[in-house]
Amino acid sequence: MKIKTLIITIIALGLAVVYLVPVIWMGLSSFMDEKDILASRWIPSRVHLENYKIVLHRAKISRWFTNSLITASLGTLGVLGVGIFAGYSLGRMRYPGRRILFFFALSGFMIPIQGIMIPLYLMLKRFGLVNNLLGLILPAWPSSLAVFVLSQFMREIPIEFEEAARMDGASELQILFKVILPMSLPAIITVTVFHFTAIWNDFLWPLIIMTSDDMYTLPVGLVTLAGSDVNIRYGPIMAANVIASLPIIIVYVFFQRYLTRGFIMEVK
Amino acid sequence: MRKVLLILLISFLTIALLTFGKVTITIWTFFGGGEGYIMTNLIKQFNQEHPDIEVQEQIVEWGQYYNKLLTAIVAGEPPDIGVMHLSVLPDYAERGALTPLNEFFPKSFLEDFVPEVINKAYFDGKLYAIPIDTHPMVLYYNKTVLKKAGLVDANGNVLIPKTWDELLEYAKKAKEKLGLDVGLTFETGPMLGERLFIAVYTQLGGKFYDPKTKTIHLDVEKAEKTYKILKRFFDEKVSQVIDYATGESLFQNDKTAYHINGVWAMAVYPTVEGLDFGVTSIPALPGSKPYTWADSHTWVIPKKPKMDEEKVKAAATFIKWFIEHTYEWAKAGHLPVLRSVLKSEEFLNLPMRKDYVDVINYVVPAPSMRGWTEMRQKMWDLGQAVILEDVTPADAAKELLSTIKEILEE
Amino acid sequence: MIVLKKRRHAFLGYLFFLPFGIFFVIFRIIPFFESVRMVFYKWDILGTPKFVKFLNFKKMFSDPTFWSSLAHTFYFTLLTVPPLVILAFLISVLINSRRVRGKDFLRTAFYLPYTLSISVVCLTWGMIYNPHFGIFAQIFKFFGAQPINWLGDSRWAMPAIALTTIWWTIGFNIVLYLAGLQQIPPSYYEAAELDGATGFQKMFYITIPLLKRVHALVTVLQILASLQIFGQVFIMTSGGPAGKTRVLLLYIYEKGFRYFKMGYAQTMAFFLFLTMIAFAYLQIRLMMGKER
Repeated sequence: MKIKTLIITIIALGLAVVYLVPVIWMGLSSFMDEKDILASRWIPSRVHLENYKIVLHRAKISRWFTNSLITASLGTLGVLGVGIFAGYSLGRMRYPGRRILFFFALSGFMIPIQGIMIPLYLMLKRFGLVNNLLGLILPAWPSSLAVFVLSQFMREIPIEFEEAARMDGASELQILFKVILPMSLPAIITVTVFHFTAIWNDFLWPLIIMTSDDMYTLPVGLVTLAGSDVNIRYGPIMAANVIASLPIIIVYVFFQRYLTRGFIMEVK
Repeated sequence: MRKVLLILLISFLTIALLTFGKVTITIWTFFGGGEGYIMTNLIKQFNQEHPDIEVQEQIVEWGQYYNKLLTAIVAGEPPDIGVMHLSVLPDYAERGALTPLNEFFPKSFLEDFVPEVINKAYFDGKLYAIPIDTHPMVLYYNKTVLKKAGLVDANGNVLIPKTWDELLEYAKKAKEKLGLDVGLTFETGPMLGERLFIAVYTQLGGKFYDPKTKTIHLDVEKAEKTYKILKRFFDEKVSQVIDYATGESLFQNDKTAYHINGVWAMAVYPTVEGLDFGVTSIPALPGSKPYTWADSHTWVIPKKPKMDEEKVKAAATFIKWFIEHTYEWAKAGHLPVLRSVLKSEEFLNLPMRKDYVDVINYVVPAPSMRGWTEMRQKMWDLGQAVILEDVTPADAAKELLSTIKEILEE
Repeated sequence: MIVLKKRRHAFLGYLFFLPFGIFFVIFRIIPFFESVRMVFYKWDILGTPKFVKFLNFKKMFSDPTFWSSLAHTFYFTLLTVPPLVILAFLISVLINSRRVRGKDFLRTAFYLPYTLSISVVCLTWGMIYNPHFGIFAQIFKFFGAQPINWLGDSRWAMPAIALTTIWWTIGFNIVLYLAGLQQIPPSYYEAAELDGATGFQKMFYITIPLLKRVHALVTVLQILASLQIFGQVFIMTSGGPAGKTRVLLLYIYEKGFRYFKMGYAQTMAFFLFLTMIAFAYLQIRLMMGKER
């Protein structure tokens, strides 16, 4: 290995490690009792598992986690389902009014959820979807971002592939699913990752719409934990954070190869 | 997925079983920690003693409680009983969000209540809330720290400051002698901008809130003096900008000598291992009584589009029962609002109650008026701005006055 | 035959768009018009709305807290967008460089924060910023300096929140940039090297221009997201200290949900909406440059 490679690699790896310090500290603090934390220790004087006991005993973390998982999964699936069709329509089909529909779909970028919170809440109340996971899932489905990314990506696919399929007598649906979709994998992955994370991390909307604490999603539940109990602070909060994050981190570390492979496929 | 279905199925069955033959009512609270345990246990006890009623508790995080309550009321699905601070009662009562309680609680029942407190539970002549406690702001002192710093008198008892100057002096000595970061901790949001402000302002002879006319008078000069008195602790580096958790943590871990907080902390502090502490009224200005801020928790019955008579009756039953168990609730550290309980032996024998039961005589009524929520927020902001030196005490006082005028005009 | 095909094509075009359209109208357009309507009313949630015409606008333009909230939002956007675009780009270039080993680890490390939920990030960084035992406090104390109370300091609270946000979300931008970088054929660089181009020249004349679309996309998304900031402020400072981090969306939330001034809150939300349209329009214009 050349010297230059070694140096640059070391710098890069060093930066990466520094970048992860907050996460590392979070993990270490979760095992420390309050005296250790106040004393700014990094290594616990003794492994203080009480933090985890307290959290698991008093908090509904597994319930919150399940809520988040269902919401983010079904939400993302819906975004894709609805977005792929719309993206195909706007990106690869030609018909009068297409441009208008395109800008119409994009207008969603400008509507922040906080601006329409109240009317949206009242509407969901009328549908009986308050304090209900569907109240989080359904409003997420019309995503302007998904439609934009998918339509733009699909548009770039060379017409030859489609023409070949048409000559074989493929229907529109078949073209979409057999030709365009597989070639749109990078965009689909991007959209999936973005929306899953966005729905998972959404804070304000679940905060408003859920009234009972077993319906909370994970972020809301965690903050509730931090704010509610006078004696749950520092250590137990970090323990809660670790419990909440570990599954996602594990899944991500395992799948991250496939994530970028999706992008690399684009080059082929 | 299967696990989810299982959970749903079990929940459904449980609910189905529970609702058969019983009146089920929901109660929303925001009590956590030590208080939370006491409340939950009381509710459990009620359920055990009343097989025909089931009270289901929903603990909502303190900071979000009123937002959620409001949205639930708007959605027509509020809880059957909710806890509510006396100070925000008017905002809800005025908008017709609460059920009048006159018919459920006869005069004889209300007689034992401390008059100042129960009178504030009325709005427009109707009773809207049943107070369950009063929680004043008090001074906590860490005996371990004070002894280590040599702040003891001839008999070896720790020095308890009676005036603000004394508090400043002792806290500074302790901080310097022991090399601590701070000598006195208190949360620098609401505790400073609203509660300490009202307390010191009243000690200066000002009358902040007038319960008769339900308005706020602000003497700009006294307000300015108040800010100056409080600011001194920060100028002399005895106190720092701090959040609630850290303020408590430093006190509990012997890293500060004094701590100002509400009596609700008494639900926890006696149980903290190794914490040797005492509690007393907050300091007073020379020549003044130790006036302090206090608010009260109450039970209210929010209005629903269609009120279920059975549920309302059950709710009233619970509230009555709860009041009969005021002593139990007082274990959380609050002062009871029943005169008989205040005087009782069993209450006075609770840890350190004797040290602060007198405080109830010096409680300044927390404002209870329309627009108070917004005004408080402004006071919190101004308190911080003063100690951060973004604004002078004089300007802060003027800004406060104009904000009050603005809000009252709306 | 062709006409029939075209009409069927059009029909299918609309049909495919329909599911999105329906959900979009129900959950975005209708509430949007409702919220615009609310702007002309004074409504305290529990009572009946009162028609007040343009009173809310007058109030808004003369409300110092509105202007300060707007300023804080712009300040936050300014603090976060350039680093989130530029740093993401630089880090991606570093990761993508031929001379770096351990690409998997690097990608994982920089993207990991993005997988954490907002509460986890804010609660952890809240502790990191703690002036008594936090990481920065430890560094300051090591050098014998007085630690800064980041979240409690008028000057540093917003930059602190910005730093947390950057740390948290840069991963996504890095992924976008990496994808773009992969698309640049290595032959371009090889050709440049033959001409004697330095590292910097390669970056400025090849990499940056070829990534124009990614730059645009990342920037737009970032600006729009930053203008809508709410969660981090809500969790870490509640708008403090002394209201110095109160961003517009937080003020809207406070006015609507805490002080019951719905009509007024909606008015400000409407203003924010117009601001975002302005930014987005400009950006999309840039992106739609090469139309087919």
